[in-house]
Amino acid sequence: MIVLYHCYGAAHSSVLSAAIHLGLLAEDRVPGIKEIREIPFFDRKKSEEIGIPFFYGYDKRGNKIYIQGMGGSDKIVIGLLQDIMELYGIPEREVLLVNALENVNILVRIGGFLSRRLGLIFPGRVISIIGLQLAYPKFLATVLRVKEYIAKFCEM
Amino acid sequence: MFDSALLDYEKYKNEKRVLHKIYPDWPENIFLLVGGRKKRVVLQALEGYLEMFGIDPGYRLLDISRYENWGFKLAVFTDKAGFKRLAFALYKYSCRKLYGKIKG
Repeated sequence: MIVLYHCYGAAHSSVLSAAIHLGLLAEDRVPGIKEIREIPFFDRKKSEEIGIPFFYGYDKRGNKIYIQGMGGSDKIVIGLLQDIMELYGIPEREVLLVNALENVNILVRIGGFLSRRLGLIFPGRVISIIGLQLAYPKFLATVLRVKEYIAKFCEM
Repeated sequence: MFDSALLDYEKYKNEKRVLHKIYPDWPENIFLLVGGRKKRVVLQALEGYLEMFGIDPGYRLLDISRYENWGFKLAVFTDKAGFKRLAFALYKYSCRKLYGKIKG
């Protein structure tokens, strides 16, 4: 199975969700600034890379974890994915889409804009990390639901 | 692919198609790809998804958006505004104009 965490630019929320999924961040506490800053790909993707799905790693069950920025064109990009899957006979259950953007707060948005769009990396990164720390329980809850879903799917 | 227990993806289920197969009876596979406003994002997603699934269709991409004129833009606007017949007439006019341009 492919789990695709998607957001706007694949720089913050989808990266954080994928990192939680792969066990790179603690599930019993909110991680510190340094821990979040050191996640692979965190606040690294450029605007030109929006649209590309990036492989993030394999989870314990061998599922492929991807991150993708959809740049606000979610409807068209998800429609494209559906059309490709239908065209090549890939079953719907093979891909699980998770919208990480639904968990972000205003701080993550402001931080992301400062860092990725305006190039103000230091303040932008700090603000987005604080925002992610505040929203961490929501991200964790989503990832746990995803894992629960995958576990049920694997038992079927 | 869509699990309502996770997030609400119902809104995407009835969306218009993005990849349209035209002339299904032809031996060549010809598709129309709707790029929307962010064409680069959609093209990068297309390449990325094919790679993600390990598919190599060996396709050739022709960007026809550069041929679009004001008639198409107006047609899309009137279509969205609900003036279907006017939109159709504008599409027809724009296509004729485009055809003339390519031919002559």
